Amino acid sequence: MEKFYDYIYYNSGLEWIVNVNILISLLFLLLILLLILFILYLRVYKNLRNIKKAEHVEKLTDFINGYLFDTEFEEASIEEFRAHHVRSKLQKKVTTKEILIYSQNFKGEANASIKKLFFRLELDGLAFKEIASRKWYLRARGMHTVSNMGIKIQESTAVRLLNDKRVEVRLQSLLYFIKLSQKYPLNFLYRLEEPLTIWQQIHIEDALKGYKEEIPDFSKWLNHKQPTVIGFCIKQISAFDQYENVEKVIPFLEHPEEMLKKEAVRCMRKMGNHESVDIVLTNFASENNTIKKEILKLIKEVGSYNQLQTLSYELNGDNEEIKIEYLKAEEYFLK
Amino acid sequence: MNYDLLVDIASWLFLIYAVVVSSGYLFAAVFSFLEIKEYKRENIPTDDVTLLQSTSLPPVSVLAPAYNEEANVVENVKSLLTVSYPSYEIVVINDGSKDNTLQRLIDTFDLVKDESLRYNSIPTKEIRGVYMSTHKAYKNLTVIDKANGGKADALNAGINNCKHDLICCIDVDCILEDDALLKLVNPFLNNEKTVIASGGIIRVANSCIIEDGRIIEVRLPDKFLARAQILEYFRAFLMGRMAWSRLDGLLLISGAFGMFNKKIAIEVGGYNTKTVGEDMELLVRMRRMMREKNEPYTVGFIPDPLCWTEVPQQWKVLHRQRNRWTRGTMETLWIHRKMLFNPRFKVLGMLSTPYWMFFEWLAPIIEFFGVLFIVLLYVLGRLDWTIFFSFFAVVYFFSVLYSITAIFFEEYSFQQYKKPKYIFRLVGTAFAEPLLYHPFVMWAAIKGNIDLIRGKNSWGTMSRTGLANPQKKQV
Amino acid sequence: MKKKILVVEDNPMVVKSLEFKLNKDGYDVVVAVDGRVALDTLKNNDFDLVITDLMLPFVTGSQLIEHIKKETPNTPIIVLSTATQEDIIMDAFTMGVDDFITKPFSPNELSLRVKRSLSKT
Repeated sequence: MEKFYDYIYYNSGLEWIVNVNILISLLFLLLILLLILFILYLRVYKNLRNIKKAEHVEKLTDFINGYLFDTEFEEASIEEFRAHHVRSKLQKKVTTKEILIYSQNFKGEANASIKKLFFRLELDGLAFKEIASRKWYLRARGMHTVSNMGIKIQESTAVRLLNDKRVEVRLQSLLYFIKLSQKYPLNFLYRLEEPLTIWQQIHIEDALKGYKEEIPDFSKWLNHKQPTVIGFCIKQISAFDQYENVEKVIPFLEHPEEMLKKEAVRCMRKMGNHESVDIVLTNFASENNTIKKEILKLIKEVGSYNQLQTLSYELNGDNEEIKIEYLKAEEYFLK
Repeated sequence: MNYDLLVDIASWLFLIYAVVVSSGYLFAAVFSFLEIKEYKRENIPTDDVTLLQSTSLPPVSVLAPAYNEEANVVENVKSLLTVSYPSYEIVVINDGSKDNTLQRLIDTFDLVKDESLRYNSIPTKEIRGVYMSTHKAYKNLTVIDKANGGKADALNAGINNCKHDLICCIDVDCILEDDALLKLVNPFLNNEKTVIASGGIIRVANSCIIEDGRIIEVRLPDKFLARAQILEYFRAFLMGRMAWSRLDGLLLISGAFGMFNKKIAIEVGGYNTKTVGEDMELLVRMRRMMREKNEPYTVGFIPDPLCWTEVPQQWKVLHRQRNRWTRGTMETLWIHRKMLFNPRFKVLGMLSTPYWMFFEWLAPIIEFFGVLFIVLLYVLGRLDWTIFFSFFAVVYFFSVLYSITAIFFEEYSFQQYKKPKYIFRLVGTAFAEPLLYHPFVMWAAIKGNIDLIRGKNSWGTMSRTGLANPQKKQV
Repeated sequence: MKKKILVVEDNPMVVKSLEFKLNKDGYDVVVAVDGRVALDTLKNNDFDLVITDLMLPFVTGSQLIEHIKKETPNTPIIVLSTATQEDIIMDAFTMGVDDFITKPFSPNELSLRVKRSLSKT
């Protein structure tokens, strides 16, 4: 090392550093030029791809509209369209996407026809391939396709994907279970090992809105091992007015987990349950502010002024936030 | 001292620093690329309509501080009121404006004083009144009138007086995309850990065509100064923030547009009114508390273009803004110096804070001393021009390369500048920027350091220059 | 003479299908992709019927309905929307729309309702 240093130091003065610098500069410049070329290529490539996509969508919508609405549509042209226009991977992808959009916007006869078309164009093969993929976004897309097209897949595969490590795949899988179940849309909850995110809960609720059969009895999962599932069920008990289940929610008013306790108090308020007020009053002093505020809301809406007054000791304490909430509730009763 | 030896040592030091810096940038580039790639895959089949009709989306309080904004405040609030989201309120905080901001709002929206009791979780300057509209159409609007106390104080007043558990802090003159709230709320919904905050990318609105508070057409500004900042924002967001987001080491969510978990924001005491970098400081304090309490948490980041803002087009205004950002960064790092190189804070202590110290704070200073050194050599007649230019070439081409990479990321991901000539102009800007723009920004940062050390305009009472346009949002 | 229908809708797939279907049914169809285009189109043309979404860029469906009811109160309006909430539907009817169809919809049913609305005028 020392020899090397001596060599460059004495033999070439400072020129070595100049040489290195020039070399590096040239390298950077080369990279810059390559990147610029690549950016231009990307632009052209993306544009061409978009043009191709647009052309395909244009052809496709004409074809589908003809298929759906033209009385003189010839059955043979389906086979022809498939052979010519649903060949490449991009075409298959775009076609699947368009068909999904159609099925989401149409109901009735048109919806049934569009599903038939999906199979006539042999697009189910791609969906199955995607479901088996090692890439999570393909698995999610595949599940999305099969659930919207009403395709049944192997039970064991569906359960495995329900507990997939990616939350996006889990979401599509649970929607699959809801959409394809005949009678018990939420029975997948029994097999769910992972927590439910709010996002998933929103989608389940939405799917239930469109569900024509009887709404399930949510008390069935109040002993689920995932607290998020229990919380979800408590919310739904009040959302769907399942008064018969109120009894089963009451124990959660004293549950150690804050989230469940809060949901339980909320549920009581929404269902106008008077008995619950006395239960929550007994433990009031030891609750944290979040729960206290929730309880005060409960008293305001379903309790009485007398019940509120049992808490007047709070006014002597130093919990300012609760004092104000108490006074607000009092104001409400005395108005 | 031997001149050759001196230059030799300087050269080696320079090379080491250069290697460290470039490998840092290289990692940033790689991580950002992975993150963008993954994000682009996420937005497959979710249906916005489903979400918009849901009653379970958590309601959001949008907090918009306003100071002397009478010219635009009504238009801005109107456009905020049309954002697509099922349940939200707009809280405008009039921070003791000296003009007619409040009266304009009262007149337009038929506001009346609301006398309900309110609890102030965070102490603020005096609240003169809380106003609500008598119109049903504006029932989501609340206006708080308070004594002047600065942006942080205004936001704290908003936190105290808003209804919902999620707060979205914005600059009132920002242009939000229609789905901005819907996108920004996403991390809060889709996570098993507690999400304390989420932020988005800020885009440059200069020269864009704007109608009814919406971006109609994205255009590249004609002014070089604005274009240079577009490149800067690309680098900061598409390469910097994206990479930090992947490492879960984000330290800054831009004050112009970010969403926070209100409970945790209150728990840490809200915005710090004693720093000019309140946006960065809040997030760092929230993260620090979560770590100290040993609670699992995360910070979300959404790379879609969601929020557009006007950047300064005048050198003087830009100088003031950068001066302030530098002070904000230094103050935050100083307040939280305990975290620096502290393994207890993991990524935050070992990577994020050191990065901010070396790259954001020290880099301009080192650079400045480098320039001084060259000048000194020149004065002493010892400057070897060949060596000088060879170094200069390396640095120059490196910065151009970095900008070009950022343009590539933009092209790869969102491609907002659609006209072909825009690409060429951006590339041209990348070549000019290190020579014409960078030295100026560096000087503004140096001035920021000097101002802070001389105690001007910072700790203690802050003399107020206003929230009005120039001096805000750190990128 | 062919009857003229204005379709205001921002989903390209729905627009194309409606255009196709209504053309087949023997109507003249003009398409507007957002509220502003719709207002412009209405300035220079008379329509026998308007089909509109409620959530539209720039000018909302409700604003559009108000405008039409003011300018040409006799033009029947059919709302085609994803909204299922009762209050939204009620609001639409109080503004004077003739019919409210929720998405997902059946194109055959829509075609019948269009025919009915047109026969009333």
